[in-house]
Amino acid sequence: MHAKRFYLVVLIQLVLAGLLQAQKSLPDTIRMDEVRVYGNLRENHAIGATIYKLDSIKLRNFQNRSAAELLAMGSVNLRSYGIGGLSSLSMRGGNSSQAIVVWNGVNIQNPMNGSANLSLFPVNMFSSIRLQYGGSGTIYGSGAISGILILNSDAVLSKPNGGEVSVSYGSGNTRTITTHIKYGNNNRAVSVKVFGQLADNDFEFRNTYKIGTPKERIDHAESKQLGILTDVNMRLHKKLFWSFSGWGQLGDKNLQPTMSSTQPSYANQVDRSLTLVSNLRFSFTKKAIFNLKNAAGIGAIDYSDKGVNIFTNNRYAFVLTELESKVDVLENGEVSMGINHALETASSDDYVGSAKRNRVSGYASLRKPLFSSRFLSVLSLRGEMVDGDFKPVVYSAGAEWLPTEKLIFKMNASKNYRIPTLNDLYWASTTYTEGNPNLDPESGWGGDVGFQVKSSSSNRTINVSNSLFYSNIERWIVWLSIPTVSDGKWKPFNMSTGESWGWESQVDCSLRFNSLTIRVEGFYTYTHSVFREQPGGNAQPMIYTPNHRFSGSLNLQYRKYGLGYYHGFTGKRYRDFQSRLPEFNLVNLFLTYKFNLLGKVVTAGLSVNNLWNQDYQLIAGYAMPLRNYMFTLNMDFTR
Amino acid sequence: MMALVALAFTLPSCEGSDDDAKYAEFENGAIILNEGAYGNSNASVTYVGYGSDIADNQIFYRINGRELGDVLQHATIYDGKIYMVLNNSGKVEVASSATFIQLQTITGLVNPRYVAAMDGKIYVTQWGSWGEQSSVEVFDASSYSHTNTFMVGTGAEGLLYSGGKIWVANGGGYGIDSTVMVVDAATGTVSDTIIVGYNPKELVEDANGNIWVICSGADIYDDSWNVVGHLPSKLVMIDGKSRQVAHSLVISDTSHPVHIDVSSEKETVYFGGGFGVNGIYSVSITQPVIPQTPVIDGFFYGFNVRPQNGDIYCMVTPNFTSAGELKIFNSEGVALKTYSVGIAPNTALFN
Repeated sequence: MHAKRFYLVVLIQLVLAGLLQAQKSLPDTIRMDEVRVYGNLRENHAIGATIYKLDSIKLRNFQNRSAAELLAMGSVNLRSYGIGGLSSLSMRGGNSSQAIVVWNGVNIQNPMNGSANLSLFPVNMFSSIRLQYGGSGTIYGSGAISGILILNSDAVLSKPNGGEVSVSYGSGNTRTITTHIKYGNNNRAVSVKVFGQLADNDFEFRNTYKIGTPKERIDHAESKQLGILTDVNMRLHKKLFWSFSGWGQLGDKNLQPTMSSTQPSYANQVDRSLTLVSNLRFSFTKKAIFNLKNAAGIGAIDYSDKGVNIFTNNRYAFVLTELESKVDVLENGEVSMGINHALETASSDDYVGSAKRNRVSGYASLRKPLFSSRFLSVLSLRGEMVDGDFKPVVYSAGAEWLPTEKLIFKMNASKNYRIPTLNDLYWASTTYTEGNPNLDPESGWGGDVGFQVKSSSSNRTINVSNSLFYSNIERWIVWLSIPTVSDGKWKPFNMSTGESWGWESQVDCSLRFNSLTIRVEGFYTYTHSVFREQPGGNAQPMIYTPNHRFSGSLNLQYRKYGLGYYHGFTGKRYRDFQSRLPEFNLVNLFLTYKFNLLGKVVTAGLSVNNLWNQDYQLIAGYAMPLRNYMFTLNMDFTR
Repeated sequence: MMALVALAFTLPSCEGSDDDAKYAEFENGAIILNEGAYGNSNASVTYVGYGSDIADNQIFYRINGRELGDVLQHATIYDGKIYMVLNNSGKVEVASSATFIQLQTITGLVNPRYVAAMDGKIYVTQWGSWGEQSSVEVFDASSYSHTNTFMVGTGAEGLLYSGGKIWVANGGGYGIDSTVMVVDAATGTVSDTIIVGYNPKELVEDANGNIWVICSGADIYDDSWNVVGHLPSKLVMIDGKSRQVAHSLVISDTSHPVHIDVSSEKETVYFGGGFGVNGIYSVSITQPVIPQTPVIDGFFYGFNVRPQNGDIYCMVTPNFTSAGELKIFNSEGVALKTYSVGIAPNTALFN
């Protein structure tokens, strides 16, 4: 190993978290596998959980778009304030802060509001996108109640050098360029991804708030976006592997007014963020792997609306240090343990002073076959202390039983929690709003039970899975204006109990006939959700949670030609206690053709978005585009 | 795959069809304005027939098949039409007050607040972009065309038409104003600017032609949002002829009521209600003293008196998320009936 390079790594570790990790003598018996250097060691402890991985074809088709656009066609419920507006994830009836978003092993949700704006996440930044449903991710910590969105980079050492450039032009005067360059060898490599987009976003929509529902164009929704992500991988030793990721994002967006508004809009939001993650993976023995992860992030959200004289500046930062291990124990068993320290700070024009929170947590998870190799089980525990205050220990258990090679029965049960966001705690008391420093964490429990049937041969694979789920969240934090309690100020309270249950069915199938490849998948969710206790009222349905949701896709690849048909159906869902938004079918069609140009592979693509030209709203009052188009050219320089 | 797609299209619906929408008559009851939650575009209208046990919710949506808009702040009924002010939508929706069939949308407004109508004209107060450029916008009641703009004080709120004059409460917007302006309805000339109390919100005319103004007052904050002082709320009577303040009664330092109405004989003034304000109080116009106890106890987001019989319609907003309530009391404060209505009811009109 080159000593200089090692010390450089250590120096970066120091900068990120102030930790010094001394180099130790390592036996030369094994070689670190770089394939899964990103993410957490705990990822394979999701035994019994429903997991949906977005396939590579889908990632490629949506590479010049945001994760919000991709997931709107997927198996989750997306809540979006218009094109390019705040878009957040909802799983199994939970709200956006009850499903966490993890990038390369680090929770990247904004600690101020507890959510991640997926409209700012370009798809091309990620090599892998997975959804883990329900509370089985207990060991990820606070907020992993209704699910987890896991975004990862791929290790780059074994990837070929080269790169690709992709340019798009589409409706709404949307101009996008993405690039990806990788350079290196088997011991060190760097990958850089860039996303740039300018858009007027003046798509056509039908204004259902006006007499005659006229066709109009979305106004005041222009956006500029730039993102740069770099991954550095270095094999420092046979048993010492270092990965580093840095991701910077800039978004400058005008915020479209609601359809009902006839007033000029001046609202604008500038989002800036930078997140750095360093991970040193090392092993002392053949049976143990350790991750020393350090991460730091800063973010700024500046909101302005000269129309109502509101100018709000928000800043947040976090520093995280985590030591995680995976040790083979007993017979074919595996223990994953970790300790974690996170410091979160935030300041806002709307806060009383600045907010600061120290969090120390630890987890342990045992994954082991029981009775026979066909019965796999996992038991996980997690504890956390926030500013010296111990939170209740949470836990999960899961099992998978394989009576045959083609059939898996699954179950898991978990207890979860979510601590309040910094906005909940530190919001200043004004005429109309007030934070609540006395909030308790939300407490949830739930479980899944289901089965999976899989079959594969040389030219086909078929997977069918079904599961029933139940989730109960107590002390649900809601912002309410209650005259008798808070003098009518909007204030967060632990006042609701939310309950949801339903089932999920998943089918995916791949077939190959000579030059023709067919991939079909479908995901259906039935969700029944209700607030059993609601201050000032009786039980109410959870808003923006459809009973029925279906997403499906058909991808055909024949020689140089490709066709992708993506269909998302969202059923009626309440937008408040008395009104429902109508159901809609959102269909995207992709056509691609590959050819050689100057010795390089070029892919030309045309996509028709909202093919069925349906009116729809993800959040009531915010227009979404009617049928629109995008043309893409992609050139691959990989050697 | 295709089977799954087909399944998606045929999923059962739990809602009834729109075919059962009735073009009901709404001429013999109260119209309740539910402002909805700010930013959610879910304002709605409820009809409660006199003597009926049932509240007919979302009548505008049911009749017209579209939502009203964002924050139904105020409305007035004039010449068979109802003019509904959608504050955060910047518009006034016009519908038949008997059938609620939509007629027109008046646009071009910025933060409109209250509406009054008389002599073929519609008068709408608006804050302008953030309250400092407030005005009364005038529209023709037949053509709906904009005919005039009368500039007034800061954050214009309630208005009252009386004898060719428009009385405007300059509510302060995001700041403070303490004046009522008297504007000539034909020319827009401000003939009088009367200093009342802090942040006047609404006005009514009593049996003697005097004008009563509710001034909400305000809390004062420092840069860190700490409350460092209070501007008291007041009930003020302006002599209708001399346009001088005849009575100025301090209500409270810490309670900031925003609503006012008069009894059917116009000899009792009621005030109270608003954001976190407890109680509806009554004051005799001949012996004006602020009472210690309310005539109706409770937190009401708005209230109005039915002119025909003096019943007091009080609107309860539990949390801007759940259903609101309409509670009807007689003039003695005895509860008569309760109805479940839409989100954040704030005003009752009487057809």
